[in-house]
Amino acid sequence: MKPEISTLQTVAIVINTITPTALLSIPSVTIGFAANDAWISVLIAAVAGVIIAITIAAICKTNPGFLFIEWMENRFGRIVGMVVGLLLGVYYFNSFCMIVRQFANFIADMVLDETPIVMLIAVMVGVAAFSIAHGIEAVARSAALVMFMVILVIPVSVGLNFDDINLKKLLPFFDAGTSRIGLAAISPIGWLSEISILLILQPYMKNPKSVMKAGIIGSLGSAAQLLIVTVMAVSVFGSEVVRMMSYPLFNMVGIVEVGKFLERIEIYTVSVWGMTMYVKMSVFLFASVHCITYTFRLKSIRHTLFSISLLAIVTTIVTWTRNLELGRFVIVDSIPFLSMFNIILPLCIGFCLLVTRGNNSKKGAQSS
Amino acid sequence: MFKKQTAGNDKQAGDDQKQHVEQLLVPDLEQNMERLERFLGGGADIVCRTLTHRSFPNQRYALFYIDGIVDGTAIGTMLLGLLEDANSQATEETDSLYTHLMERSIAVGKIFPATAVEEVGYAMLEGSSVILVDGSLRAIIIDTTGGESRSVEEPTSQTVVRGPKEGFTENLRTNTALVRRIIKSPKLRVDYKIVGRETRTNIAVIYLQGIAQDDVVKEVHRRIEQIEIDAILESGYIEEFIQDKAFTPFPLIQNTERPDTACASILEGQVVIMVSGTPFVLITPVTFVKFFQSSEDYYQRYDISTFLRLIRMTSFFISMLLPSLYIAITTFHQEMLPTSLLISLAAQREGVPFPALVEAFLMEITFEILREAGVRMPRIIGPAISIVGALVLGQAAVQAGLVSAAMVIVVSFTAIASFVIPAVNMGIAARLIRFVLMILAGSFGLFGIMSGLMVLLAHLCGLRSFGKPYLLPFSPLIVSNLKDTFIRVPWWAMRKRPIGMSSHQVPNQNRIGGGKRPDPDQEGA
Repeated sequence: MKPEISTLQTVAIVINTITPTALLSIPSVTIGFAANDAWISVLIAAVAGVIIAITIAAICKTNPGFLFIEWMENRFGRIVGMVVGLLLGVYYFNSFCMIVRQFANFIADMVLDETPIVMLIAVMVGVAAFSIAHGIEAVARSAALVMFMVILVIPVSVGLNFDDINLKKLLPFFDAGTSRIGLAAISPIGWLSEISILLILQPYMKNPKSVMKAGIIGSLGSAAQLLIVTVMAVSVFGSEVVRMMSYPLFNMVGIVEVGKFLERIEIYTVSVWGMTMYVKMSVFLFASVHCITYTFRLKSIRHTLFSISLLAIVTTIVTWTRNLELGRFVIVDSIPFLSMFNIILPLCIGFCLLVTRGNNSKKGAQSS
Repeated sequence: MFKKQTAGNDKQAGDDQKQHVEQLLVPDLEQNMERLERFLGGGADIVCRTLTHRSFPNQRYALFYIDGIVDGTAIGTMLLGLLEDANSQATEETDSLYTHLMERSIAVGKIFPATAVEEVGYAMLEGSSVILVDGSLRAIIIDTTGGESRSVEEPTSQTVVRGPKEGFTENLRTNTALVRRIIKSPKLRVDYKIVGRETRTNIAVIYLQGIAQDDVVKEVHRRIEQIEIDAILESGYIEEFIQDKAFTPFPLIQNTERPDTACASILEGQVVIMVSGTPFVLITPVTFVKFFQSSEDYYQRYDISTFLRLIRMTSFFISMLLPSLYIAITTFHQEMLPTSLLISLAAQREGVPFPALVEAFLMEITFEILREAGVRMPRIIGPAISIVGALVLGQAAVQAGLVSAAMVIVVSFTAIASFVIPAVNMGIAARLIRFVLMILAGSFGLFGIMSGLMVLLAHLCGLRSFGKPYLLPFSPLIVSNLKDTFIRVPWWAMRKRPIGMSSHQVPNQNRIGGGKRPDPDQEGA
């Protein structure tokens, strides 16, 4: 039976794919560049994100219902299909390793500083692999449930921080200058471009035609979360302090104190965020396994999943020997990396689709 | 006993038939009697009574039954009738003794003919009586099923404050009658099956035609028919054979002792499976939230029902998570505790020689042993266990410094919380998961708990019960079904049957007519 994902679940996957890692780095990066105007950068990024989402969804809509790699092979031939599949497979694999390492570093930083990082990585990859073993449907359903949790947590966080929020810290507007605001927008655009996951998800949708709706809502939802966090970070701490923080999102909740008994509750926010992180890891691992399985026409998804998971554990441990390298990678190198696979590759595909459109309809006419 | 069923028997016993050709009855009574006795293997409880009729002096006939599994009163009445008839002259010319008996002399409602020795034998094993007639190729099977069985009593495992006090019994016929008495609809279907080579256990599949989904009903039949086993002693046997996934701690099929719960499920489009010999009937397909609902929720006011359901859900999480949270917080995240509480906890744990994980395991295992002892021990020595459990293990262990008082509180609270869940099998799931989460919490703190919960979430999302997603109204989200989950809206607001469970045919979707909300002003106008 072909798994089916509802539109709501697609939105949930998109949001949970974009935001978890973005929330970690965005406030520091954007505020680092644009100071108290960071929210304008995020708004610009949101507009760009929606445009990317529309483009990707438009490409998806031309898919007549094949799985992504099969579609590429049907349309452009076996070689191109293989190249695209392999590129994306490797991209999602690398991203997966990066996310796992980021999450592991975060957990090690925050709480488990004495636990060997190998154990953390093994647990994370294990959980992600377990989720995928239940099929993309299970991942989609858990994504939707996790999204509801996030929707519950956001107002609570804002409410608890209400006393500390000082919107005057956002003033004056356009203080940083257009070039810095523009520069600050690049990183969020990079993260928002991860919406290209729709290319792989769309064939699994119950109603593939609603991919446009899912893409736009998902991209807006993610941008809204980024915006809330950025605005809160600036208005609570002021732009100067945030630059020095590794995880402003959690520091914000960390300062909450209700009465004398409810304090240091960031661990709850971290837990919910961790759930979204798990969804993200599952989605990326799924995409990687999916691409590699279909590129090489492997028979057993389970075996592929197992071997890729093992490989991911090793890669994650040895690629970044020092945490500093990962930090640099996330902030600087990720931008060309993300834009290459999420923007340029889909654009190439879209372009090729446009060019070969005539041929294909002729072929279709002949064959029918 | 059941006409339909006996027809079904032959189909089921197909393997047996292949091995030896079905023995048909012959005109000779002696020979038939001998073959029937040989089939049943003799025995002191097989009763045979030969009679002669006044109008047919050359033909004898014999009444056979197995003592103890037949209804004594029915046999007495029937025998009296037969004797009276035997001594009276047949008024009209009847062509044969068989027809005469069949049509004029048996004082029991349900009789039917049979032609094979096996058929007769199996009918007797089910409690029917049989009349073999000399010179006839057919025997008369008389339904006299009965014998000693427990009467309808209050269910022991699912009690309510308000609501019917009837419970199912071990007798299948009584159980189907209890359902029939509640749902007096011609659409109620009761399909019988026989499973078990040796026990030949009767199974009834009950549903409302047009409201239950046809493919679900078909699937239930298919899965039951696929079972090949020598014996079915309880519905748990069936449950393990027909559930969708073998390896899961969560129950995928609900069971109940209460006829009202079974009927409510039937009315929502679920299928009920009854197994002879057990008061626990199975309900399928089922969703996760059903295990947190009690039939009483629908009998008392909706506000308190909603509150209680939320309490039950909280209890489920407490019984699953509390010990692991305690371990995680005291081992890894001490900063989360307010200072005064932290100091008091630290003071308590000062003399305890074990880490929190070991301490928790000690207490949890102790409690599990206590609980099992409570179930297994003879009722008379009950008080002993509570004294030993409460005083010796609880108080003395703390005083001896083996465990901290806080841990005793945590374990006791966990235990009490696990009894709140109305479905015992869901409570068991929480009980097992608790231990895994405790190990995770001991090794990775809250991160471990979170990872464990994520695994559970993915697992729950992947589960299905007869093809229906286990987390149904939540994921995939069906907004209109949320009215009857962890909350219960007033009856007049639940206008439709839950989507997804029942058939999609429009006329059956509506449960309540529109505008039934109580509104005295409008009525007056």
